[in-house]
Amino acid sequence: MRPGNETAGFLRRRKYLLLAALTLAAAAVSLTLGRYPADAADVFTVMRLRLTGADPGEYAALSGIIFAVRLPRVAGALLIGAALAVSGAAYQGVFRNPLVSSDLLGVSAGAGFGAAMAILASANMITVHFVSFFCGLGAVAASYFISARLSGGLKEGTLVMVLAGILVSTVFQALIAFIKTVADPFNKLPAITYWLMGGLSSLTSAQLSLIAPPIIVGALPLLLLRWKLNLLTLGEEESLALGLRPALVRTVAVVCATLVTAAAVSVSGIIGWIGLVIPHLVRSLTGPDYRDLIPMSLFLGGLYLLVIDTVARTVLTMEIPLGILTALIGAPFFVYLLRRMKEAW
Amino acid sequence: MNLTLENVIYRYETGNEVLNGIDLTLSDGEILCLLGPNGSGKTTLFKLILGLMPPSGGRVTLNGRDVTAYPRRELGKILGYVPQNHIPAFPYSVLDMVVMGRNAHLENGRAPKQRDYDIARGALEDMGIESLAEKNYIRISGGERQLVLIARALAQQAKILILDEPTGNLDFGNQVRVLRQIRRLAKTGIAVLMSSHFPGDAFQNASRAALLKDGKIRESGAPEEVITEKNLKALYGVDVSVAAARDRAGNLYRVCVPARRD
Repeated sequence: MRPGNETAGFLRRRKYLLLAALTLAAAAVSLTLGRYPADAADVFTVMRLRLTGADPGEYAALSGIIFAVRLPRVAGALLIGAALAVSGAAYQGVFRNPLVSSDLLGVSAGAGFGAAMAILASANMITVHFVSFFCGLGAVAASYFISARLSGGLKEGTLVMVLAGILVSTVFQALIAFIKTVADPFNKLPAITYWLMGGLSSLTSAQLSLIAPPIIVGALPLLLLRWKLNLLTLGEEESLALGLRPALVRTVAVVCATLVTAAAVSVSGIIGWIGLVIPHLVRSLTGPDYRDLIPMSLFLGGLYLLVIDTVARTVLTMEIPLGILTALIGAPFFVYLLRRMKEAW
Repeated sequence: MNLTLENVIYRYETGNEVLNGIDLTLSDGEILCLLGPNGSGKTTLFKLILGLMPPSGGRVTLNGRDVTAYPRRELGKILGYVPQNHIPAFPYSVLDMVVMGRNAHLENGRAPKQRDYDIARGALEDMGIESLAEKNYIRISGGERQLVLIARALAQQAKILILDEPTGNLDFGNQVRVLRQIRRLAKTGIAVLMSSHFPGDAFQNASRAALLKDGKIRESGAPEEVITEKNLKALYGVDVSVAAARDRAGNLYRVCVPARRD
């Protein structure tokens, strides 16, 4: 769990610097890739011209592509990947279960339903995001209230909450299926299906500025309270006896993680596996202590989605929906992690 | 520090009484061993003392103040809970586990600092298990885990330790080791309330023993006076002889010997 060899020691001491450098490098590489050819020097020149406010001249086309298309997409991948990974890590702590992910309480199904409904109603893209965002939040609120009615509040067992989440997800999945059957099969049904498979192809800086505030507002308390999540994983009574107010920490964590996920999926569509795989990857690197787990998940989640999204938009002439890639890469990777972790568990 | 229970009653919403008029006191340096069959209410009693739920009747007080009236962090500085050793959901290191004991001493929302890690290491040293600090808590033995949980309560700098069957599920050597450590802690002035399934633990360790059955304390006092053949028969429903044995140093000990019927 805490590897003792030299490389690992170096990684541990310098991990955040290293990760920041790695992320920056990956972002730079990703900016050069795409149908319009560019190398690192071109990207650097475009950046410099933009920053100095100079006339881009012969670089006008590339400048347009980088600032209108590639940069929002790279930034969006980092932001959304970080959001999904950190909320997965938080949910795993709250539910004391390493196998849950952030859509446990129905946020993805709710967001999917919201998006499908808005697409059906021929709403514009911004409206789709808004409806999806609030339906995601609404689904989790529904899970929460059902479990509160059944068990007398968050205090009693998280199991009821998990069951409520499954119920709510099932209902929303059914509603999504219903919307699909009534949707116009020539333009709306493909749009809905495509949304549900997840992707960042239509990401603009306007959308980025919509989701950045809720993601930052939600991630901040998780960062500040991260060490307390350790105590939460010991269970209600033990954490109380250690002087924690578990109900408070749990509520803050669930609300923040939900806010972050709902914001992310409202523009990206449903991208599974990141919230499950990344926290596990981090545990195998730096251990289960939430002091490292939360910030490392932010970094690695962002990096992971950036790499996957870059693959998704460059290997084939058409876009590969992200949900497909994260599952195809995530599942075998998870098997590998589980094998590695057999030692720790 | 003085822990007092006065006529403590606990009943479920269905009306079933679990505890029915418990009186107990515990002061510094004492070891009180609570004996009783499964389902006698030991765990419920501990939950009430830890302020995890309010009693249906009576009072649990620390230095005269109701435990339920203490803010959680204040209570955490006084009462240290050592649960039965269990496997947490995540493979924390031993040091990670012990430093969680510092929570009650941290400012609101803060994480432990170097000083807290030093205190945690000190607690491990105190328990003689500092070599385990970086080990995976899940992978060490049950006896070591129990010692780690006691170390956590020490890092908590608790004045009163509540131990739920500290010798349960331990091999013989670890039982002896854990009891020895508890005895040593009591000598430093810490008050100890422990439950056990072994009357011998009370002879070995306790300054007082209390016998709990059907939600009532049947007997309480010095172990030699309370743990008698008659009382054990009443408590557990089995025939046991209480015999005297000498240890190597020549000290006389009492031991419980179950009668063989065949």
